[in-house]
Amino acid sequence: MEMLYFIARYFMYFFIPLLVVSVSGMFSERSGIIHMGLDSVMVWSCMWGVLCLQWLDGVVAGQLRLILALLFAGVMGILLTLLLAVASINLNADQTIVAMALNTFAPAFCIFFARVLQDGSEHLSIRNDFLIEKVPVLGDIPVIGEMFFTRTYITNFIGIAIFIISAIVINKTRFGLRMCACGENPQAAESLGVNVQKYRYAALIISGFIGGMGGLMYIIPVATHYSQTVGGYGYLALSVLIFGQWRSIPLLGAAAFFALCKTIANAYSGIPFLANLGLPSAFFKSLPFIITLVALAATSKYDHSPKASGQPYDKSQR
Amino acid sequence: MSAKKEKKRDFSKYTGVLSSLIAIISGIIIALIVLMTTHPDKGFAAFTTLITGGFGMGGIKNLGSLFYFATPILCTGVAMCLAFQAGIFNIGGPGQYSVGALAAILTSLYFSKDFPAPFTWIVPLIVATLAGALWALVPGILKAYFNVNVVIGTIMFNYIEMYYMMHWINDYCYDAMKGQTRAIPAQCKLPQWFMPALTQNKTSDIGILIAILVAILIWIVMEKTQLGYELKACGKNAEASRYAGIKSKRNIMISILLSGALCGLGGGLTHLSVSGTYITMKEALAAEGFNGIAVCCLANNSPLGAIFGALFMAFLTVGGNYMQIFGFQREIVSVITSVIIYFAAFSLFLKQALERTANKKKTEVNKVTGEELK
Repeated sequence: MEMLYFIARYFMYFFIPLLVVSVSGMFSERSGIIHMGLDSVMVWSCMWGVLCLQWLDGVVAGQLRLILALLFAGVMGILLTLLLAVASINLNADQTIVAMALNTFAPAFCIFFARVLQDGSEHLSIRNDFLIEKVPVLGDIPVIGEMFFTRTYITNFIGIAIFIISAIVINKTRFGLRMCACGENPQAAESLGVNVQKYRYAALIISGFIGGMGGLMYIIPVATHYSQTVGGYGYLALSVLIFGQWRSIPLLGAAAFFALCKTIANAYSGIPFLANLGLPSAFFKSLPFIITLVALAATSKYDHSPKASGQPYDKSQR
Repeated sequence: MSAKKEKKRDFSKYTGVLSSLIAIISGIIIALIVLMTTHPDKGFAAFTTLITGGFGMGGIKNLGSLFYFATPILCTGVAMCLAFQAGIFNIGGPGQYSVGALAAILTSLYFSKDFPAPFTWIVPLIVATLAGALWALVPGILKAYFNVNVVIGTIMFNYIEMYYMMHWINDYCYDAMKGQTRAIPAQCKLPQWFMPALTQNKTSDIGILIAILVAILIWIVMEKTQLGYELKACGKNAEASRYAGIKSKRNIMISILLSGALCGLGGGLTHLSVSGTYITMKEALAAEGFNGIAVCCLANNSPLGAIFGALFMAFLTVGGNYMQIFGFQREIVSVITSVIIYFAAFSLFLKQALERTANKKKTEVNKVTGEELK
């Protein structure tokens, strides 16, 4: 039973950031902008979030410090995403290349900046006092309480909330539906009075905010210092997005599936059955990536990708 | 025919170069701003060192390191150009590059060291090239036959390579004392020919010559052969070229395999170099693979342009290695690179804007002189 609790907690560490960041990607891509730069948004805003944690240390106590840092990371995420927005919405840039530029920029700048800040060392330390031993009431539920409501982080609940809210926004509100129209057929949307550029900007701002928070959410439970990497989570989130076919509920399943693979990859030595297989650790570590490819190959027949995704919007086109 | 000639004299031919120049200048200006704001006192000295490629401090000796840094990114850059022209975005450069490097190291350690003279280094290079192609094979099949986004496919293979690399090094060629791959035998290293005399650098070798030769070769294939034409047609419009009887699936496979092979060659050339390069035990993707994308952006997807792009990027890298003296980090080079890529991404927009102004001028002249402008 202890084993199950341990795996469940571990699972949440991977699941939440993947879910949040792929939701961030969903906003961008449903509006018609391919967002390959999720990784850079995570790396970049994670640094600002961690710096904010350091600044607030001793000023604000407890969970409030984390929440403020999350908000700050979100705002910085918007800043970076705006670079993508300007280039791809106003300047008709190749969105994939812009994203590659961001992916080169973020880690390099963060190393540069961290070293300038602390004279040589690039590791930013994090003082982590955010662990919640037990959530009142919910923590007393048998099994589930033990799995999800003890020794947990507030980011887990924020992440789930973000998912639920964004699922409602995208699927049920006027804003969300119009945004999706911009991703499917922008010319048609424009002809009905939807300002495509404005909606795409809005979508990217939301995407940047969520992605930025996702960056900090990734690092809080798993690391004691920040070292300019998020372990390829941005790219993984992208595959989750494709695997989840850009739809909210499948996205949840895809994120859970990936997180499970990732959990197995990291905790396999503690699971006797897997440890006895005698496979190299490289196999388990690359398992999520291999499974992604297999899953994508199996599901690629059903392509629900937004139709106008990746193309610069040209009003005069039909 | 006359229309074609007309077009060649057109100003639009130079807008590509011009937009690359704009991208480069923007990158350099941003570097200046970053350097000046972080350490105002030393910023300018660092900046001049950076943009003179360290030649002001290190002199002509730096030519050797310039060529050394240019070799791998020229190969990966040409690989990206080829893939881009064929409509494929191969982000798998890092993986293909590293696999090629490891293949070259293993071949020279285990097999080719006893071969007769030129084959000691030719065989590892060929194996490296094949290994690079092999690493691109699966993403290629997935793209061509299963419609899996090639970007995702190649990224996944980068990570698979990253994790397996440690495992392979550890099992076959680990030098525990130094924490890196074992040194390859001297006879397996690339020959030097006249290069040391040319660059005043004892460790200079013919790697750059091979890379330049390959770039020219790929340019010829892309511009002058039927294969190149078909690849480009597929890149422009896969559906239309399929209707025209071009086998698009086959072309996807060819372009991604060639692209992977070039990346593998880059890895081979670097790790067979006389100066000695090793793979360290670190979970990281090879930067040379990503820098190829920057080279390609600078070169406007032209393999010939990639030669200049790679030399320029290497020039910056050489300068960047002096940054430590001024208390800066060499990552500033990556920052410049990213800004350059960023601006190159909307080079199409810049190009169109430039062409628009150019055409405007042209019509104005027409009005005055009443004849066509050459």
